[in-house]
Amino acid sequence: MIKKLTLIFVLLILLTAASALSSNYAGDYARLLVMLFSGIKFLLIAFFFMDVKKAHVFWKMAVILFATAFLVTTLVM
Amino acid sequence: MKEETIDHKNIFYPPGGILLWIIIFLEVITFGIALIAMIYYGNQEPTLFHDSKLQLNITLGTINTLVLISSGYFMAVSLAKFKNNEITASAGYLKWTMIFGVLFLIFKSIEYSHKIETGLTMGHNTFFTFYWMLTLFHVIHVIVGLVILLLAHKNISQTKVEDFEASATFWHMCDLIWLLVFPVIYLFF
Repeated sequence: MIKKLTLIFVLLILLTAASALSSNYAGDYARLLVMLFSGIKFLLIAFFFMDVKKAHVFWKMAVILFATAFLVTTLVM
Repeated sequence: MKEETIDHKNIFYPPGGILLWIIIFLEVITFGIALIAMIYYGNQEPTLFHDSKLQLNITLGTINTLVLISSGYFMAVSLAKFKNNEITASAGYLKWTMIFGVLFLIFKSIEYSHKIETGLTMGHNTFFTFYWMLTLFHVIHVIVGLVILLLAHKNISQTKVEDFEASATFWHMCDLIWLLVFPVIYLFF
């Protein structure tokens, strides 16, 4: 359990670094990558730190739908 | 319902409790709408928003993201230890959770003081109105979260698992909100 949490933590750190690098070096794809990485981090924290993976499918879908809706809306505006 | 009989697969018993998850969704939707409004106004004044964003300290913002993620990790480990009845270890990780939470507030205060010194206050322009409102509301959530964690730590040996889990869930919500706020305010424009 702790090992899995530690792995997720390392992944979150790497995604944060990737976001920061993308914002400076990814040019036209910066926005897409930054928001995509944030969406992934959002889901990782919800599913693994908040244990949504153990919850009813309604809550899983609600979290995924919110993250997707926010991501898509920010990118198409 | 006692924790050992709580089936989190039951729709009415998500981890942390249904009330807290209703609050979480209300909060992230509210912040989400505000951030979308910010992007809308940013599209109306792209130069202003880009130039304003350049006045933010992205390094400090990134450090704060790492600080909050670390705090969330310690919280998750603390909860895992608590569920395993390792109360002393749980209390230790909970202390680290709070330390990193306070560290976030310290860095935020440094950032705010720089902004105030250079006149980048709430009324400076539209970007900074959004910046101050969104980050201040987030800071309030972090402070409330720290109070909740402090109470959980103080009474840890008498705390029920579901109450500890609810406290942890509220703290992770602060992290979730920051993960929406940080990329839009600091990196988007």
